[in-house]
Amino acid sequence: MALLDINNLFAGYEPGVPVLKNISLSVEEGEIVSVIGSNGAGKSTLLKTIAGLVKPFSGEIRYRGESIVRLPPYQIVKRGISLVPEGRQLFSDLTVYQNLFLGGYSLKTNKSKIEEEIREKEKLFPILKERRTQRASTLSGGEQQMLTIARGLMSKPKLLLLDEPSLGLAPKIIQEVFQLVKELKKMGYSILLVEQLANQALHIADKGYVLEQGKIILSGSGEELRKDPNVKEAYLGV
Amino acid sequence: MSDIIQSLAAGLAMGAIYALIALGINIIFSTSSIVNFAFGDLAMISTFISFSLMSTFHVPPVLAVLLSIAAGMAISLLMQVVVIRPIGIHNLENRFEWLLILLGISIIFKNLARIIWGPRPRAYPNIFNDSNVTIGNVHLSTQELWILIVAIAIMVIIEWMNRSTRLGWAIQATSMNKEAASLIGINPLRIISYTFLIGGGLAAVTGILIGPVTFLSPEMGTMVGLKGFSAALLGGVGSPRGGIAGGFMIGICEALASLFLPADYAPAIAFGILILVLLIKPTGLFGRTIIEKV
Repeated sequence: MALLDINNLFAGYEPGVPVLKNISLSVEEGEIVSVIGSNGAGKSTLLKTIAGLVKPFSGEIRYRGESIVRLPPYQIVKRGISLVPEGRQLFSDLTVYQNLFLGGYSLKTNKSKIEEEIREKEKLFPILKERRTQRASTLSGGEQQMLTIARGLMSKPKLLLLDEPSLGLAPKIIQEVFQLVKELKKMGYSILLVEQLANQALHIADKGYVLEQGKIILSGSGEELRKDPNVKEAYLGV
Repeated sequence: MSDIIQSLAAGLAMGAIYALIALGINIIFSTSSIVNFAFGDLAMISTFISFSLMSTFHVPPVLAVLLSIAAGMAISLLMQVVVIRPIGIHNLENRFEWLLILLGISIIFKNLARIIWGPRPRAYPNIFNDSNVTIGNVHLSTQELWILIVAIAIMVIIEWMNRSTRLGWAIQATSMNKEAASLIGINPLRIISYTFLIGGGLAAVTGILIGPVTFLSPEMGTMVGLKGFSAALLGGVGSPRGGIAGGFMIGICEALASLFLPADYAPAIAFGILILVLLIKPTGLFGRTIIEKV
């Protein structure tokens, strides 16, 4: 049984206007799965639907065999799925520490347990320790992205949904982000990554899907997709 | 000179009342984007409840006060559950509709009070004894002193909550970004309920504090509610500290103006300051420009 199983999913923001059309995909435990596609293909909508922010019209989303389509976002995160949203969406007036602390809100545990969790995240992202008492809005773009990911990890998820983590970052930082995603896989997280940077996203992926106008038009291993002539032409700019 | 100091002291007490109302309006607005125009009327209802408990049911004052605070919280939560929740938090941005709904609730509260307690003003039992406290050559009634003590204690508690508690952070997170808040496991509707509870408690406390000053009547919450609302606007909607500053500013200006002008002009002073400040700084004294992100 796959960790995440999506079957014949239709979803969108307005009734009768599906953004996602008949999507089927799966994420196995310990995998990095990359979904590539151009702007407006429905990549973010896909992740938002899994996380419960967008309600599906029809179709199934199963997490560890259990349907999660009717659950609100704050319950889905409790089950072990964490969405790291596009555009960072930090609580900008709160400090780095407060943002991290709230990331553990769903754990319903005591303060010292959450602080232990924060110290662990600070080991993974040393810069966040330095910035602990600063407001999130004062961080650089790269630091904010790290904080968003760290906050997403605070709920101790099994499955991490990463929405365009490279967006708006300098090339050097982008490499760091992809390096980090590989690292997270080694740490045991399963990852569903959505990216415009097709080459890098497929490079680190065990499996990939190509999303075009809300439909999956191709799937295969990361390597297969990178060698596919259509993918090369449309997404890799070769 | 002592006249001025005397009015300053009285102004501080009234200012503390406006500040409490501004705090209540702000905390509800921050999570729900709802401007609670029924706030003053909820204060009035809660005060009447404490009045009935004491005069009709002979409940001891302290217990009556606690029960009416609980009632204020319950009614406020009921408002959220019965009226606001069904319309949905997704429609929270429709400000004009909410404005009408809250004005409607305000009218319902006033008329309910008229049916239950009658239209005539009544004296509120003076639960604080009627003596004066003299500091230097300034005389403060114990009533005014109580208002200041209770109001400042509440402000300190709320500031502490915002700074140091998980609930305070969750409230701020919800007010900054509901979607991101729900993604980390916060149920925004529940947080909105908490702010309505806090707001309802604040309304009740405010009503009980001014009960002995203004007399009880179905209209008692109207003007004081509007001035508290002005205080919130003056300080910058959504800024707790701004609301407090705005409240004290209006209270003190009113009191100082009463030295030179007939008392009837007091509301004009409050709204005059408001208009003046908003002309110069539309976001209020402490308000920041909110950039709506797509």
